[in-house]
Amino acid sequence: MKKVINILLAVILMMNLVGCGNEPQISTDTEQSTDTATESGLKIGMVYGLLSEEFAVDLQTGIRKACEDAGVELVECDYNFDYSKGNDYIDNLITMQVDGIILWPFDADVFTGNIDKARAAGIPVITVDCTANTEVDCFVAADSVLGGKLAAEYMVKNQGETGKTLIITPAPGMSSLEQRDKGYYEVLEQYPGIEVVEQLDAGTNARAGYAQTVENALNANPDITSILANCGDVALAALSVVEMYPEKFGDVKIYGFDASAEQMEAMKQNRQIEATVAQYPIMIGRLAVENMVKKINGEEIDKEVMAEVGLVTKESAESFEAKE
Amino acid sequence: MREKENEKRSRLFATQLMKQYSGLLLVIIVLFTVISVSNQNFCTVDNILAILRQISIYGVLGIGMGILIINKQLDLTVGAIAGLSAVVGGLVMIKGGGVFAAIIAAVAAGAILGAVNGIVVAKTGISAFIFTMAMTQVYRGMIYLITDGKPISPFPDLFLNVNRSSVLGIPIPVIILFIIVFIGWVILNKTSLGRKICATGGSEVAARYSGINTGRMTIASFIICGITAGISGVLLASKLQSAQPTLGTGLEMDAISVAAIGGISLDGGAGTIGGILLGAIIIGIINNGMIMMGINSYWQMIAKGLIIVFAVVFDIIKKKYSK
Repeated sequence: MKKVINILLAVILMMNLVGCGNEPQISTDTEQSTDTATESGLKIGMVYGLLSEEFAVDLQTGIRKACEDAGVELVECDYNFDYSKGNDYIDNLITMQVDGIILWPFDADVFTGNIDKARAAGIPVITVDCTANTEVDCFVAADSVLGGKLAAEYMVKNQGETGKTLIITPAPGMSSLEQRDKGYYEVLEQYPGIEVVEQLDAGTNARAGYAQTVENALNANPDITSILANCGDVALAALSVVEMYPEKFGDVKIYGFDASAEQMEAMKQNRQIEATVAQYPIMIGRLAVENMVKKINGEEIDKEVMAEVGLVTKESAESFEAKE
Repeated sequence: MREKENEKRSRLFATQLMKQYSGLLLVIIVLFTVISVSNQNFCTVDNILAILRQISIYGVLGIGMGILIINKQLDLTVGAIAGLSAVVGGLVMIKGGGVFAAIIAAVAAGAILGAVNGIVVAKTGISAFIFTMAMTQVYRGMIYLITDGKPISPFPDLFLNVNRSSVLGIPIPVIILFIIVFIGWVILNKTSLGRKICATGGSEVAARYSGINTGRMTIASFIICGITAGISGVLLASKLQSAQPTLGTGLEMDAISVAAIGGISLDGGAGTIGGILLGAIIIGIINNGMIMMGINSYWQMIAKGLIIVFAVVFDIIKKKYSK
């Protein structure tokens, strides 16, 4: 009995690894109005790194809508940080002979082999949000470096040219977060009066881990005046920490990233998040699909397409609208 | 005369305690000294309280996990259970159910999920490791389904005060930690349930032949673990001010580390609650201290692992030589 159960369970676990064939397919007929594109006969595979965050959900919205508008069939899969699974998905897409693959790679190296394989098989590959260390047909992302610069510049405007700022750095390889940090440093270099305290947190314990790291960093350096948080979880973790110490850290200002709902709420309530940088993931999704269709149809496309980012401050939070 | 005897007895007890935990206490003293010398902000009231508040989360879970490991079982779903409990509690509050109802619902959710794990493992004899590894996906998936990937907030001030407030200067999470430590100690050392759990973990066959319903003991220890996971979920949700779908990620590894450092043998049947508490304190000091000392983050990763190895090895060697 025990043996049977164990075998059954192993089978169930293995089914987890089965690829894109099991994912919901988006067809393009249904309620199409007559003036949208007719079915183009194209099929695109989209490989998500996660779908459990608002950014990811918005990205999916942008991709699905653009595929609908272009009359393209969409196959989706989510590897949820499991790089082996992600590679299996790409293999499956190649076998399915899709016309194009859009990939969201959380690690720049682990997918290079399969990206090369897909392109060798004549399937163009576009990466979104994070880069891969091999040639791809196009890279579409929010301009994270610009976003970092906007946040850091606003911080300097807000607090002046002296102070001590805390930056929680990601584990190497998370290119979008690294790009935001790059933007921070490009600005901070010009202000030697601002001291920087860096602390790495690979994100393995999500927001709880960030909260612990920020709390320890603040207690170790109680003269920190501001925090440059390169993602929503870090910003919100930092907020929950400074609010535990109203006398000690009541003046610490937080500059976040990704205008998530919780951050926007906090700004509207005049709490310690001063500003955040909005990416427009719906726009990124749209641009990825549009460029993919162009490429498949033989048109020339740019190697890099940078989507806009926008600074949202406490003042502008109320009237903020995401761009598509 | 009586007083002198009692004094002697309590001094003997104290020395016994010191001897039993000498390895862990030594590590704590060394860490304390080294870190304090490096950064004077370490030995401040604020920082010590911060550390205690931080460890309350995985300390509470460590007690439950420790008791489960003593029963020679493992539960890798505890992080997901914490997350799911937080979501359940969060939903109760959003719908206007009130803070107390939410906390009870959250802890109950933890107990129920623990029971599910325990019943399947006990009745089918399946490997707890494999089963709970797979169930982590299931419970996390349920969280995403329920929340649609979005965090649940805002929470009423009363709930947020669970993390923020103190009684007589002691933060509430720390009080909760010590209450759980006490309850865990009572269960393990003063109840027949505790004795039976130890026996089951030590040798399931022998325990069964001596009349213990080992299946029931297994289920009970999974429920205890699930309850502590639910409590951790509540503490985290209060601290982070929302129930995010990712809440609890990685918590299982923290809990197992705490239990391992605390001297709980993965072979089952052996371990103390005091050890678990000291294990939690050591991990808390390491997390905080590395940052206090400004150690390069990559070295932090190495150091953290090595300190855990050292603490466990020292403990094993000490036990070997004391025989």
